[in-house]
Amino acid sequence: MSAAADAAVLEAVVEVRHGAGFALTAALDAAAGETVAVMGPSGAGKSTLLAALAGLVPLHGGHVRLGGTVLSAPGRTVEPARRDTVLLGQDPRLFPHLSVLENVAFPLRARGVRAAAARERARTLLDRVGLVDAAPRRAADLSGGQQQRVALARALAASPRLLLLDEPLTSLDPGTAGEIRMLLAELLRPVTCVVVTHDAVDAVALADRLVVVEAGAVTQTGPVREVFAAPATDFVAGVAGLGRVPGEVRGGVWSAGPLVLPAPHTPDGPAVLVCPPARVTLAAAGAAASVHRVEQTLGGVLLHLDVPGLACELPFDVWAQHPYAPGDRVAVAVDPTAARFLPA
Amino acid sequence: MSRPGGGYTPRLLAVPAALGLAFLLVPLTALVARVRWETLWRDVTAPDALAALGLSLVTAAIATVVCVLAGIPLALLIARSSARTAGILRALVTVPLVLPPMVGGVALLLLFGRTGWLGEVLGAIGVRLPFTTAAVVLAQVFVALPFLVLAVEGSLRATGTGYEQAAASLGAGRWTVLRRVTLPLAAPGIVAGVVLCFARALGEFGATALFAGNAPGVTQTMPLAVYTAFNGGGVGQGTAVALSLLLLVAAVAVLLLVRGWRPGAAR
Repeated sequence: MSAAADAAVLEAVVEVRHGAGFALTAALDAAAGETVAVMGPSGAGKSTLLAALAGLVPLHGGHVRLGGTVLSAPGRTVEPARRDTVLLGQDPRLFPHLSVLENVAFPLRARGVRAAAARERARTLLDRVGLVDAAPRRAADLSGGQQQRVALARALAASPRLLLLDEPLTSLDPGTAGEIRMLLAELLRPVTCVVVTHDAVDAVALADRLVVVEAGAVTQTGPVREVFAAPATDFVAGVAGLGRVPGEVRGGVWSAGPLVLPAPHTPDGPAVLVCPPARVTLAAAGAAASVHRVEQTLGGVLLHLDVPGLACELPFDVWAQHPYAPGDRVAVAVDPTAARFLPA
Repeated sequence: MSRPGGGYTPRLLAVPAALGLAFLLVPLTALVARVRWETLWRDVTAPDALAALGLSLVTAAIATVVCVLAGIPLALLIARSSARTAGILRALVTVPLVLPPMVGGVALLLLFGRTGWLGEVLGAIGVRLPFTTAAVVLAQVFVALPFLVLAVEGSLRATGTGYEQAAASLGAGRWTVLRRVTLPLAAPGIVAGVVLCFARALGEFGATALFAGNAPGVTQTMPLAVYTAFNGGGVGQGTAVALSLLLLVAAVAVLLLVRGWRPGAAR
């Protein structure tokens, strides 16, 4: 799926400072046709990174190179209109004074394509996003999901060498977001793309590679599923839906309260156990704990235990047979093959 | 917001409200009542009256074009400045709006007069502005420009730069963005501004009287003709009332145009 063997089309080292409080230093590459997801906590610098790639924010250091051309360097920023880079944000920003068709034809007309040819190409793109019937309508008459489809068709009409998506599904309801996600996955396949998202589902569905930005620096990068399977930070573990249990390692053994696990290659000191809740099981030979809180989820039931951060996921029918309640005594075991330790 | 007949306003407020409305409308009724309809056509088509009407329309139209050419760029500059700079610029633009027009006329005379900064320079190349038709236009631009700038600036600021950013990202250069995105989106504000600007130029009196004078056919616009007629010179009193009626009709026409283009009404 990935074209990682190709030379990088996008090659960026972004250094941006806002006053004294905020500094971002992040390297990001993308091969031709590759989609790279960027995730990170709020305020980590994801949107600044995207704005720097789009030429909306000047660089204090580093460079943005696209297909060998330097687009940004300290003291020199090529204008957004000349970067061959389209930024599509959470707000589709369809021009309210133009029809849907004219919106999609806009980037072509701006490049001097004749009206008839531009309209024909726009119609083809509208067909690809399933909205050719809406061509004569005003943007304001469309639903949020339809507007985002038109914005996508308009972005593709510009045939950008780099497409930047900033939280493209955030303002949509879950059902619509799912539809647009599938459409994006299909349409983005040949496009070099950087997508900022806070949703792990977007990263898995859309991206080949994931870059994690925390507090203004890249903390982890790699193929999406590999990053989620082996999180390097507490943030990634949380995004991946893994449980995090703070504890302590001493002499190759990790422990937190009654819970004890082998941690052979982990240095002594505080360490966080990271583990999928489904790999925490109730077992007669396990450590003694008590149920602190019961959380109903779509997949079943999560038993939060009195060891902080430790939760055990049960299928609903199992819980229905043994409806554990807060205060109940249980014995839990953590599958040691699924356990990883992060320095606290 | 309360709808007519609804809401929670004290009912007694209807009395001063009605008085206020009457105060605005009754004088206009008195004016219309004094129109001598049998001589209206003759009064309006008298040579002096026609000259004043023609001069008013032509100068106000030229002044409006000048205001558009300078005012839209100025509005863009203010709308895209930082909040602090915009506040200062907006206050400066508002000065002529709150200034008595007479004072504006004095100021223009001191700038363009024989011994004024620009007057001396222009005099050296044989150009004399005061008391010419050009002076009428300058006086009108001085009092009307703020109306256009403030209307357009408000519209530009309300729209923001998000659409312009999207257009630039899609490959549109700065002039294309201006022509195809910025100006069309500001159209309601521009139309309102142009109409207000034209109406203000058409009604301009004080600055014109001082800076351009009152020469029939050269600088005597309709408001000056109305004033002169009432003071007994030139055209008769019947003409004064007839011309006043004409200005009133023009004002109402302008008002109806603006109503259709109030910000928010156009969408």
